[in-house]
Amino acid sequence: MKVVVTTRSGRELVKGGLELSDSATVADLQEAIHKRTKKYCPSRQRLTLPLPPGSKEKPTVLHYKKSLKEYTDGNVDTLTVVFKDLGPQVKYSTLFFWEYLGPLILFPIFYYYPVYQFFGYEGKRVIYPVQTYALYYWCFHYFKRIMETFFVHRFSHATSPLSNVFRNCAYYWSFGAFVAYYVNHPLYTPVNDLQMKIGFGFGLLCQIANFYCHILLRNLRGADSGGGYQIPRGFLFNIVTCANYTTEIYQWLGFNIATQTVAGYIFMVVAASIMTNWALAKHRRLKKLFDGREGRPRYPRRWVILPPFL
Amino acid sequence: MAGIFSIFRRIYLTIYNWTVFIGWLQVFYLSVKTLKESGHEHVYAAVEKPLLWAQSAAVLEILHGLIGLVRSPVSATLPQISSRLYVLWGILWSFPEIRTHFLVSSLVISWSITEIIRYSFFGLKEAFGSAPSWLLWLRYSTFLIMYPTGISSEVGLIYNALPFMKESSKYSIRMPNKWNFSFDYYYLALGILGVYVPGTPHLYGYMLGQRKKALAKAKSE
Repeated sequence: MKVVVTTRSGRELVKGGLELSDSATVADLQEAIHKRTKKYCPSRQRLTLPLPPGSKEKPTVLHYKKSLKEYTDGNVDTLTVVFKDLGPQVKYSTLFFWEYLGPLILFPIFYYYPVYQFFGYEGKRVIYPVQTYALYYWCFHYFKRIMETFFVHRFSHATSPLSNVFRNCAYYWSFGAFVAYYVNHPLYTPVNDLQMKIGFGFGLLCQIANFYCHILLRNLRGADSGGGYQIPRGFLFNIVTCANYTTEIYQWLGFNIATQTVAGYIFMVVAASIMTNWALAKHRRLKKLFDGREGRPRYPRRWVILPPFL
Repeated sequence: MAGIFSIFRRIYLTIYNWTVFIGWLQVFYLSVKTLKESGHEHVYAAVEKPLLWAQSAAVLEILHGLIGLVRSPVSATLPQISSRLYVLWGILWSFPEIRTHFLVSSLVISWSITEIIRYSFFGLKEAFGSAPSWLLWLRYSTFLIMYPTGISSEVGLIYNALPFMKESSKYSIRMPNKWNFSFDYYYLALGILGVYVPGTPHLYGYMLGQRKKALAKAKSE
């Protein structure tokens, strides 16, 4: 079949169109476009079916796994698709790696190196046990995240815009330095021993629970299902949609109970609000998809992210 | 039902705008009078009461935007009002040593001229449905001068207050403390001065765009 590729302004991106076999997939089309345009690798291409002008509907996005035949409505000879450049892309694993590397390196820098002299604090400093445990806890946390990125998570989209690298790194690295500065400060005041143990103990439990949540989510997404949604089940997912975010927030709470810094609490609140936005979107999406009609199961009543509040 | 709410809205906004207008008129009058009769060192003392009232009342405008009483986006009004309140309460009111500086005069005169025009413009619009075209022209033209003079005064006053902030450690939190937190008002001021660098051209450019739109619209009507 012939495929005509236009830009959103109507210009033909690939002059003369492309010739593809009738059984070709969208991925094949993206490869063909890449061959002709050089600049636009498949992950940068967003292909949609054209909408009549003035239409308020959301355009149908072509999924890379589907065959082109599924998007032609009867007219098997020609298919017209609209192209949008998503800009330079990076793999999600690349994005996550750089985000997490910052905090992983920054915290030990504040712990081991005499950086505080640049802030005007001279002389030796006393290091409390809680500060050493905080170092281990924090570094374990971000090491775990990097390991999960490469070995556990299955991503819905293969890539993310390059600009997100700068934005996300700014967030993680700034907050990493912010918290590290206060926890390792020469004038740091530790909490009592029991509070420290409760904090780190609870935090560790939540990190383990969080890891288990990630395993469950991974198994939801079979290697071949290509981003199809399923209702999460098992463990905490039976009562809360985004149990993975729940456990993540609570493990920061544990860290803050043990280390008691305003900076740490601010970080936790900001992270929780970002995750809450994601959780609301996910919960809404799942409820919409699993509406109980046409043989689909109905999404059960569950907390969104933080029982008993939301 | 909607009809009666819109009448109350108009009455409320008319009263609000004209009341604050009177406040700024006082500020302008007293500042010019004191400047001529006693000199710039005494301007703050003369205008303090109406200035604190009229400028602080602007907080209501954020509320008006939030509840939908007026159409202006909170994202535009919030930074403008925050910077005014910071300079007024955070610098002038907090550090009396700065009050005798000559930039105080240029500051309050720039602010009051701008606000007199703005509040009378909205006051007329709410009360009578429209404002005269010469007032519209003033509203979108005086900023060309008032923004540079006003912003230079703000930056100058913040800068001159820096030594007093450092010396007094006012509003600062030092370590050690049980919440392991510190806050330095001096460094916050430096940060704010930094924000003025990209913020000023951005704001001025935005106003130039607004001017073009508003005056073109007026011409075509």
